Amino acid sequence: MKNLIQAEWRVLTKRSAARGLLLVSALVPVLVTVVLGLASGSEMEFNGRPIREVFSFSGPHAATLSLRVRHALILPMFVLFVTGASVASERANHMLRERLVRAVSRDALLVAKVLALLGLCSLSLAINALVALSLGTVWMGAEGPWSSVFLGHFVSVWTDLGLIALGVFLSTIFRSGAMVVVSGLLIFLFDQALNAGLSLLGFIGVGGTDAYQMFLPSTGWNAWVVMLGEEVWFSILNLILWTIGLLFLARHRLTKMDVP
Amino acid sequence: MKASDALVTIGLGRNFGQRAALRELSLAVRPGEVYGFLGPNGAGKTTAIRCILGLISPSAGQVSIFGEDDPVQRLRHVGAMVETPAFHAFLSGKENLALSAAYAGVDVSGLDGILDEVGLLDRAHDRVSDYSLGMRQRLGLARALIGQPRLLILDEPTNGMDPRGIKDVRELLVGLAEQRGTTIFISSHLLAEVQQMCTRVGILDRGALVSESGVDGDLEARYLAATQGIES
Repeated sequence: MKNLIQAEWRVLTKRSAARGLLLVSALVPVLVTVVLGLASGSEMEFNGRPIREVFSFSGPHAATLSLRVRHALILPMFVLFVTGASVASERANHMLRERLVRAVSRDALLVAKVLALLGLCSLSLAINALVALSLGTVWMGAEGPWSSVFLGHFVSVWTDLGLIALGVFLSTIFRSGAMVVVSGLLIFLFDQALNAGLSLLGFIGVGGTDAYQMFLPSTGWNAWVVMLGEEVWFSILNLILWTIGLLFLARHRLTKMDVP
Repeated sequence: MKASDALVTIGLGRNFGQRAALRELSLAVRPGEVYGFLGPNGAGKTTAIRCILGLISPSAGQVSIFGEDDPVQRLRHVGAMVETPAFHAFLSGKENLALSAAYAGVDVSGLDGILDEVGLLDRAHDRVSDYSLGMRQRLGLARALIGQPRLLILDEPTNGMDPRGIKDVRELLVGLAEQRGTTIFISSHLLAEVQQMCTRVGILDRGALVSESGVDGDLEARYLAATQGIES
């Protein structure tokens, strides 16, 4: 199994999509830290008060904000794209076939690919944290929510695993990486719309909408906000259930599917 | 059919919807034999090979390789090349082989020797995207040879090759069979090639094995008769 994971890792890190993910993971914290650093020294005002008195500025705060930007803008699309390239596209271009004509089970193939992808996401998170913390600490100081930063990045690893599970499951349905990204983003949009609709119903007095919201996938995928000190145990439980469920479905489909 | 046979299929069938692509294919390939698998386009040759390799589930029947039935374990001693071989175009030829070696659980130290055997050693570090079709076929063959398999299953291995390449592949395969005792199961359209290389042939037509014989005599006449002149 170790050999398979290493082999998948070598292939993955040569993909342009994976290299793009790592490059963006390094650029985002640089941009975020520069914006924060410039804001910390500016005379801009917010609601009549100097902006440096309203917001906190430090290395850990830069890492926190960078993680937010990563999750909000970059991570879902890139993870789905890389996962789609690694599974759906390989199914379409016969590379899965070339692996499976060896005495390797489909379970082993799935585990090797998921762990290689998880390794890539973990590296991306490490880059995000290291760049933001080092630049931010040198520029703005080190006083800040260090424990939340570490906890947030740690939980993000499992959030990433949830996204990989979604990507792998979609890859067993579609034969192109692009379709995996599009369908994944549609699922996010549908989930957000459902979430907003339930919030609206709750706002106008309909009872019990919170319970339904707890089961939406986004509740789990937002589990990384543990760093903000919010109540997240149900989010983590949701994340575990969705991740296991999607991996189970992906395994079931992969085991049964004809490999072209 | 004996338990010691290299490859045995019993009543192998596969339907795609209402269409039977493969019907009750029963054959036995003996160890050390070079078995030619012939048939017109769409006869079911690739479907049979994909069933044997566990890439698709058969609708009926059994497959056994060196006495092993399990779809994964029976591939332990098999090297295969199915249709046009696929590669990661962004990797070099040798890197592609290293990936397969990892999946085969084989050390990468022997890869240069395999690349030399197929005449690609001097291009081993070039990206596969720069390879010609014939070079890709050679690399596919090299990949099938990883781990010194006891059974080679090759689907149209000389597709896209020039006459020199075809001759090289023929000599390589015959050498493997004669010197290492490798069993070879090869599908091809090239009757002359099959006749020079194989010891026995099976002819498939519309999913069923319609003829099985040695390669002596007029193979073309037998082939045309067995396939009822479908492929002119």
